[in-house]
Amino acid sequence: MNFFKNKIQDERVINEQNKIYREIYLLIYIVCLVSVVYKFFVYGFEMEHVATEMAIFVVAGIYYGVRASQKGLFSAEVEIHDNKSKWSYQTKTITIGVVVGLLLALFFGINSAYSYADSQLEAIKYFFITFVASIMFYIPFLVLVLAVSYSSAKKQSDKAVEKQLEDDES
Amino acid sequence: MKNLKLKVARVEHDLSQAELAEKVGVTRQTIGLIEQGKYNPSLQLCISICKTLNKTLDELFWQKED
Repeated sequence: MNFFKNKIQDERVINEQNKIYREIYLLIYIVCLVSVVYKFFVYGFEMEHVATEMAIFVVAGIYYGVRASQKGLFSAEVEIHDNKSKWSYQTKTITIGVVVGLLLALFFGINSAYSYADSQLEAIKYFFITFVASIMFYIPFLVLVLAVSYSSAKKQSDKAVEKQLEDDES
Repeated sequence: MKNLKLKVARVEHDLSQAELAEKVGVTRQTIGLIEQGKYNPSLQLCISICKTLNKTLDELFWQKED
């Protein structure tokens, strides 16, 4: 009896399994998010309590990014997006960097004014100082990180696509 | 096995891989891999390609055994 003979797999079953895995992944993300919110509520705004959840978010994100680039899927995502949207993927990436930088600056500005100021005038002063300093730091930093990771992922992904389509005259 | 019938039908319609890909809502890479026989499209995608190229499923995807 040959146990390795039957290698045919039911593609419907595999597709359904992949759907379930995707749901599990989403579920884990939601559980982590709930855990982060709960811990911030119980222990205060301290990152050390939510290090595991943050590691899950970051590692999963990086893993997806690296694998999608290696398999050429990132180029496919960009191509599909750019065909449908008025904004190119690259413009959107940079805009996200600017918006997140602005939101962070706003958050730190409000936090600074709320936590350290004694008068209303001082609160306004602290808000603007922290807001402007945060903008000067976070926006260039985030834009640079996102732009560099976008272009390196795109480059690697394009290379993977070219390799897959190597013997194609197109 | 390469799908030359698809390639010929695409060229008959004077479409590049990227143009056909855009018409059926997939990527150029997907069309390229189907033509090379490295990716098996779903029935839905096959039908979409056939409609775009005015061909039947048999004409583009049926392979006769030698």
